[in-house]
Amino acid sequence: MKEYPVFVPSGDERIGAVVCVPDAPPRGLVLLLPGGGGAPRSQRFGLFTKIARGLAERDIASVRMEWPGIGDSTGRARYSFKALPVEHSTTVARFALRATGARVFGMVGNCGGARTTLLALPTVPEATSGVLMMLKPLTGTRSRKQAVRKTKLFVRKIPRIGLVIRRGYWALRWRKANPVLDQLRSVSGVSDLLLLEANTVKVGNQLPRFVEGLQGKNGRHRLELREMPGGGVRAFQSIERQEFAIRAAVEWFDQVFPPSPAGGNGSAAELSAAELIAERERTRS
Amino acid sequence: MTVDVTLLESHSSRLDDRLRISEGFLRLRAGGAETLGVLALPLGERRGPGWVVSHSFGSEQVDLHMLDVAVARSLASAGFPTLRFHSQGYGDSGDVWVPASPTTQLRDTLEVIGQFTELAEVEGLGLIGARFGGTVAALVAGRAGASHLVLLHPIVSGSRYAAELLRSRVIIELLGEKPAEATTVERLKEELAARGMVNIKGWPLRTDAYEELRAIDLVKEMDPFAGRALVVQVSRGSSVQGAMSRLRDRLRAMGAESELQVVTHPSAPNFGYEHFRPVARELLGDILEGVNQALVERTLQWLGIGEEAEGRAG
Repeated sequence: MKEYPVFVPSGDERIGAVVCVPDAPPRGLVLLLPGGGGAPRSQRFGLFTKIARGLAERDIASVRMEWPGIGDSTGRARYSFKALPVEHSTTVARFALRATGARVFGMVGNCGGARTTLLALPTVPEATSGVLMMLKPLTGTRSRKQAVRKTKLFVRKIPRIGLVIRRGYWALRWRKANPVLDQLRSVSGVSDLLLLEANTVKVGNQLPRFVEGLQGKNGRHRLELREMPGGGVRAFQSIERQEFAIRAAVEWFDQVFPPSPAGGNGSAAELSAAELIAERERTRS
Repeated sequence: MTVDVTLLESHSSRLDDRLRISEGFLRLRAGGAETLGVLALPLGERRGPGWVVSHSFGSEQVDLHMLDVAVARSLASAGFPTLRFHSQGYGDSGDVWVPASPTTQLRDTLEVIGQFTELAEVEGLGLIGARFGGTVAALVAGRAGASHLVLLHPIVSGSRYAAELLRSRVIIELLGEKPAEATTVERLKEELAARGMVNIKGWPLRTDAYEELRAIDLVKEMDPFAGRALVVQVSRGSSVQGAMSRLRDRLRAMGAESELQVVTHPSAPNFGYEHFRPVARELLGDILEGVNQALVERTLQWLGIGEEAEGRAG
């Protein structure tokens, strides 16, 4: 395995990224995109570095990138679900596909990165699969109003009943998740998707039910939702959850990407890649 | 299918015409493995000292990394070659699985400093760091033969810092989904003793690292340092904290030309913690931008750059 840190030109910015290349010809390329809390390309706790190196052990190349203004990227750090870095992601994806020679593409995104994944995957013709970590379709930017924040804190502190009230509140707001769910429905028809979710009040039972409803209606594509350990703990603040996410992402792409070519000349993998993409094109049309 | 190494390597550096700097990724050696560094160089004439940025501990490494980047770019923009890097166990380091501790960070920092002199090609060595990064800088300054030292709200008492880490886990649980079940500092200490490790917001704090942190007393442990030193306190109010003034006095007693400044800012309590908050409708922004800007400006002014550097940080 070898890692190449790069600055990828994208619009007026330079995006900091690390391209990780396995020793053998790559079976495919995975782009790793963090969420919107200020985490650099390695994510917190080196989570994405660990996934990248795990993928390299399975002969899969990767590129882990940063949002503008974060880490080594230039620009001003600003996060909005209404201005996701879709173009930056596809630019970095194209650069890394060219550099690694990979014919199959996948993406891992966390939170805002997961929403970006849903928008970016359909724009990359080589894309066949994605892993969406904590997509949380209901999550928006927290309110700045002091009264709202105080009420939330008050409700949270009520033992047991507070949790019930919050679950009920988010269940009632579920229709607000529709834009993200529509994207999920659309992408699940053309790509294999793995959702890794935490059991938080915002997700509740609604997302698993929605995914269950989609399964079987999305052609031959794999669609799975796995609940990560750690209960309602935020983000990757559970060590068990970190380990679960690393294993799940690496195993997923190991399963869905074409196998390493026997004999190592790359032709078998290229054939499988061509088959995968052709299948995707068929389902699109 | 062949990897286009030429394409990859041709993108390992960049030129920044606005800041008049170049930034290039480097492979460094630290703790028996490779790690990643970024060397920022002025496009114009170089001047000394060259600076090495040492990063903070645990989750703080991520929460303070934007300051580290701003500092490195601004120093380079003012003519000073500046290197930042990841100690083993962090970010893109070669051995990201290894548990980091104060000892490993001191070891890696000294090893990287050893490689920096050839890269900088200037006289003098400056060390700069925020929070625990400042502590690391102060602890290696004497041994590394540094001429300049900038400590941005350094951790002076390791035992207080270790207690703060445990408290941060308790606070997170109190603000979480089940506040009634939140742990306590006492329970965390018991867990450390029983399991040898405790989870601090996703960072595995091991007993050896915890004990090493607790043993640090910067006022007592600094090696002799007789260069120039700037200590900056970051706080809401302007009162000087006892730990900061003790550190300044200790530096003076060692023969250093030492100065203490205070940066006040409403977001100061977030320094070293998560710092993206709603700044407008449906928009998260960095509430520490102002703090970082002020720290960069104070550092440059202290170095005599002052007005020259205005508006360059970023």
